[in-house]
Amino acid sequence: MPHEQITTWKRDPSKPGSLGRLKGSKYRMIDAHLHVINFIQETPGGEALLYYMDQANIDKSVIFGLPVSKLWAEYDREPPDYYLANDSPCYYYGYTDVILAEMVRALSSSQQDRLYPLMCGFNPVDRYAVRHVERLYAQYPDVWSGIGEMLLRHDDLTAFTYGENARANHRALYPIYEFAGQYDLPVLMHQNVTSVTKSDHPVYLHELEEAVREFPRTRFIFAHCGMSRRVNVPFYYQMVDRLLAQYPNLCVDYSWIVYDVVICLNGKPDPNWVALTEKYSDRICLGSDLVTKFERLGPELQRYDVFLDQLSETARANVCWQTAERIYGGNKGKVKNTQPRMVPEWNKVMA
Amino acid sequence: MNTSQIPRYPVTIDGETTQIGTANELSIALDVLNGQSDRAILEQLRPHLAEIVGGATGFTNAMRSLETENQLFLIDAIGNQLANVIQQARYLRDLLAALAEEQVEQRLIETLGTDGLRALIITPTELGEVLEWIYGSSDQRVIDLLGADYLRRMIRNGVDLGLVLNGLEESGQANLVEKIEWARVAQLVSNGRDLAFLMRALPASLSASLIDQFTREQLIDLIGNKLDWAYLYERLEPSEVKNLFDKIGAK
Repeated sequence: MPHEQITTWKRDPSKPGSLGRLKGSKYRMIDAHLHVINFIQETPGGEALLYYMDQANIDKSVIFGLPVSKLWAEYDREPPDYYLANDSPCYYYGYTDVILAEMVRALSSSQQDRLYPLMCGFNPVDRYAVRHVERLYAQYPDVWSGIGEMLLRHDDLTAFTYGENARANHRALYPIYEFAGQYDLPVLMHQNVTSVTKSDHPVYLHELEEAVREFPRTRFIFAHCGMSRRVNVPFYYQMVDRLLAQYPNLCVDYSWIVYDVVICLNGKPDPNWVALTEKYSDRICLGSDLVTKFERLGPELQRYDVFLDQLSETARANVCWQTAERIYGGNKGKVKNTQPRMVPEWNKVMA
Repeated sequence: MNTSQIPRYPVTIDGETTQIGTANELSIALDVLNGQSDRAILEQLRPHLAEIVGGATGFTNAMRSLETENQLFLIDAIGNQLANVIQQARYLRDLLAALAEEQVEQRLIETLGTDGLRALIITPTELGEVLEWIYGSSDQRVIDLLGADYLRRMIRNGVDLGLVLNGLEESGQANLVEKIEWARVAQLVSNGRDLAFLMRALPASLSASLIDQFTREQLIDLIGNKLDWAYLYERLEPSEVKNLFDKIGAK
């Protein structure tokens, strides 16, 4: 989940510009990672979202709120509008899911079909968190397509957020992973692979691996491959390659700065990442990771074109569309309409 | 208004055309052109710029996207609608805080003029905060444009005056007091705390003139009690203490 004000691309006066970028990627796609509510829990709304999706050649979007809200502290003269705006803390804000659900339900049925909303507004270090998930599934059974983006290890945001540090292997999350596994729901998680001050090896990767290993029947999506601003480690594509090889229940999204920092540095696609994407295209999807600034959708997704051009038609179709559709599509109403997957009774197995 | 129903205006650069109706759309269009066509975009949209930037946030964001010359162009284009766009003093304060060029601040203040500034700046706190972010001689210009009568009506006690004085340099403080007139300043002081606030806000060279406005008896009456005296004394510079002691005949 990005810093709202630090964009993945910015003006470069040395290069020619074009209004054509506002039209988005030349490849029709699903934006698999989009925050439609910002850090002060405001949203431009569903109608604006769909308008700018149309402008940017985006057919569908995987959307979610933000599980934390930035506090306007008594000592701050200026109201903050994003989490790094000043030194005040953030706190978990469950109502983000209600804002999202109501936004979606205000749209027509055909418009709702273009959106895959995820639920994220629980405190990931609270062992009651699963009750929030169950409650929201009961309240809005036909809205949700999965769970996420959970904000776990997240450098400055972790430091700003009240309470214990959230992490992928926190025991409070295990009932949620179990719930997701029972109903075959995807779980999108932001978990930095390392700390800002430790860039020689991924100190927090083991936390993700423990969760993914402990819940092999739960589908996890590793947001922007665990990268954040100022968070990087050597051997990145080898690390992602190993994770995808080792954990069949793990997918990744290319969104935000992982694309600009390692996949396509200085606008040149890295052949290793092209090869990795070809190999695992059915486990990789693309997203903007914008926080509400829908006007930016076009140029944000257009920047992927230079990389997508290098892929085979099959791989490109997967990362632009098929993978996201397979992960997030068909999940609405699952909890209401299906029986949870249960462990078969021992005596019946042995009979 | 629904996003799709917002009035939008076409701009064409190098054969590519887009429609712009909001400040965010303007900012992103300027960005994708890598800053190479800012003026061309602004010129094509000139009659609609006030409507497009919409409000203070949009205007501030647009200003942040532009180089100095184009910031000046945008201010001129919005012209007499500038106060309506900025809406409130706190947005003017934030805008001034974000502007780095003195000539842009000057143009902004001149374009707002007396009417615009009076529409935005209602309270002494607002005036003090606006002055805090104005550089060079422009703070004096704001005082001049607001005018003596308006300032006299706005500033109703010593604390009010202190808030405004805190945002000014010494020459500006002298000018403001001159504009309000010392006799009026003296009337603003109704107790020891008012006096303390003003003494603290004024440099010693000016606070002596303030003390001169009062007779010994008036000062004793104003300070009048142990608490106000302690509050005042703790806020005086040594030369001010001497001056005050001389005036009231203390040792």
